[in-house]
Amino acid sequence: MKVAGWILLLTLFGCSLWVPVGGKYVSNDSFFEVELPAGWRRAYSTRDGLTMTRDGLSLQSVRIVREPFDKELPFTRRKLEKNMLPQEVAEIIIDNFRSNQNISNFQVGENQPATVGGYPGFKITYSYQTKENLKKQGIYYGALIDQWLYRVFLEAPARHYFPRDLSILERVKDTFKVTL
Amino acid sequence: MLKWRWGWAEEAIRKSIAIKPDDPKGHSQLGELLRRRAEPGDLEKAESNYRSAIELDISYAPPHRGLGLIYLKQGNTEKALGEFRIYLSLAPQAEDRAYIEQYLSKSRGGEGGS
Repeated sequence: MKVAGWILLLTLFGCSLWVPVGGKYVSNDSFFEVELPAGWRRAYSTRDGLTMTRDGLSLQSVRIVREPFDKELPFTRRKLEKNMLPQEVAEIIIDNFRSNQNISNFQVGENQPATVGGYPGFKITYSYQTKENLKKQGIYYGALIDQWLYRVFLEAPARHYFPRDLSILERVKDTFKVTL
Repeated sequence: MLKWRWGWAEEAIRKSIAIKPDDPKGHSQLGELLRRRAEPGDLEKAESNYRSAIELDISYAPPHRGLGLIYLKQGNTEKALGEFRIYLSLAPQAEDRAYIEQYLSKSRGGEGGS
């Protein structure tokens, strides 16, 4: 009976365990540290970084991801090169969004330089429509650091959640440090 | 697939240049495609196409940006900054103004600090 209960729980919660966060978080696998807000939960096990939410992933997700720069991007065929300028990396990330056929009406608000984890990077703000006609907004900080693409981003429904959680993302980004 | 996409885009731009050879836009777009594709020999061809666009219309801003980016990555900072200055003077409202200003200000910082 106990086993059945666990199976049911794992099925309901997508096999992810969520743990409360708050204060300093150090990732020894992805080589970064960051201050996380209280009241949020992070996925206990996330490959390549950190995923956290307050009300559920469909309502907002803040992610910090480190991936090899030469890993194929999911939608665009264009590839990142090690010596690319932040501006060029941002262009490819935007192209990746535009090539995603699961979303429509993708629009870029800002695309500008930013410091990410102490390194030169970029900031993109964007919006798009999901297949269910939900308008989502996102803010995406990224930087090529050594042989890695680091990205810190928030995505949430444009109505209510994005404006509310934007300041959280900014605080996370401001305290984010790469510890390579 | 990737080669097909680049090839298709290049063919479309070349057709447009053939129809309107005196329009700087086509030459600049071809330069842009070649700069982004960056296969062996592409950057030289990109530079040549940007130059053609500038010869056709000296007040057309985009090829100056493209040239600036090529020179910047080649380490030819002085030439890059010259092109970026022209670019911003021709397109003061450019969408990527913040990036270009950053290149210019970094260079000023380097000059002052060295």
